[in-house]
Amino acid sequence: MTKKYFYIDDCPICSQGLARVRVHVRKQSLTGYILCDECEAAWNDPSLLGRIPRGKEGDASCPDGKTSVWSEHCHWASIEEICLLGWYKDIKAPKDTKLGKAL
Amino acid sequence: MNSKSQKETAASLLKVIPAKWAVAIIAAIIVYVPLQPRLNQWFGWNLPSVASLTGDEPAKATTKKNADAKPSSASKSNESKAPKDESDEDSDLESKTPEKKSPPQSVEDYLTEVGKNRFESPAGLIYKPGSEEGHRLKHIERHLSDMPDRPGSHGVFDGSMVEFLIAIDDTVTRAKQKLKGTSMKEDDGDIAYEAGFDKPIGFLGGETGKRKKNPKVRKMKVIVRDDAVITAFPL
Ligand SMILES: [Zn+2]
Repeated sequence: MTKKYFYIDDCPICSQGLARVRVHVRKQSLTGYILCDECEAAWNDPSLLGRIPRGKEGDASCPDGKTSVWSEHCHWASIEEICLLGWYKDIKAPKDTKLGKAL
Repeated sequence: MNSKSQKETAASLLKVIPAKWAVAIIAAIIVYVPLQPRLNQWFGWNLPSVASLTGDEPAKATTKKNADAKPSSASKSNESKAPKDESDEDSDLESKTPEKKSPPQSVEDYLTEVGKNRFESPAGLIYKPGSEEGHRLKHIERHLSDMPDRPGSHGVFDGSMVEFLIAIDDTVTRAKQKLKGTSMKEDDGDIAYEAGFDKPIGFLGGETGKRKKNPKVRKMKVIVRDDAVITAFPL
């Protein structure tokens, strides 16, 4: 099955990565952020303004500034989570999905 | 320039300048000739020899360029017992130049392990754990094959992993030297190096590449932070 990508835009930093929605789940609260899957530049929201500083050793960090984006607390957002965050209007979806056709 | 014409040039020069100036110039040359290699050795300078100034000597690898030649010396790093000093390395490289032409065959030959799961390239780039794949080498390895269903562009390098690493080193080295056809851009501590190549180094893949019939590409982009490679790909 083809992997589905939901992304905001092409990454403005590296130009080839996809700025995708990622979430940090902690104590049942969901924090969304945007992460380039190529150069790991991270932003607080889909405006892609105001980068989240990288953490220790240059690894990308969650908005809390402490958790690695690759920790067990983080994952790529599902379409449901993107809707919950109120960011569905900001994403480009694959054209062969219901959402993609609707957008 | 041969030595005969060199002497003729020097003789004609002596005719047109005052005698005391000629004496001063000759004295300066007499002092400079024996001192030049020693000054270079002691202080790491790169003063040219008199022969090279007159254009009589072919361009020779300097100490700095020998550092660029490290790929093949890195392949021997496992055998070496202790770090050699620069003068040893110079003579070693000069005497064995023909052997050094064979490119390293594997990533292990090309990179030097500098810590746990940390590897350094001859250009000083570090590859360490990180990324979704767990290690930067794994992350950039994705660019050795196409991902035709991935939205946007996905640069694919046409060659082996070790050739990819060599091209990455070359990109960063040339961009740092600000050579023609290169660029260097900083954003929040991340530095994006770009350099063009004479020949295609791969093709444009991904959905966009597929739509454009996978055109050949001849540029490389490398994102680096604190000398550590974040990612690299042809574009
Ligand atoms: Zn990026």
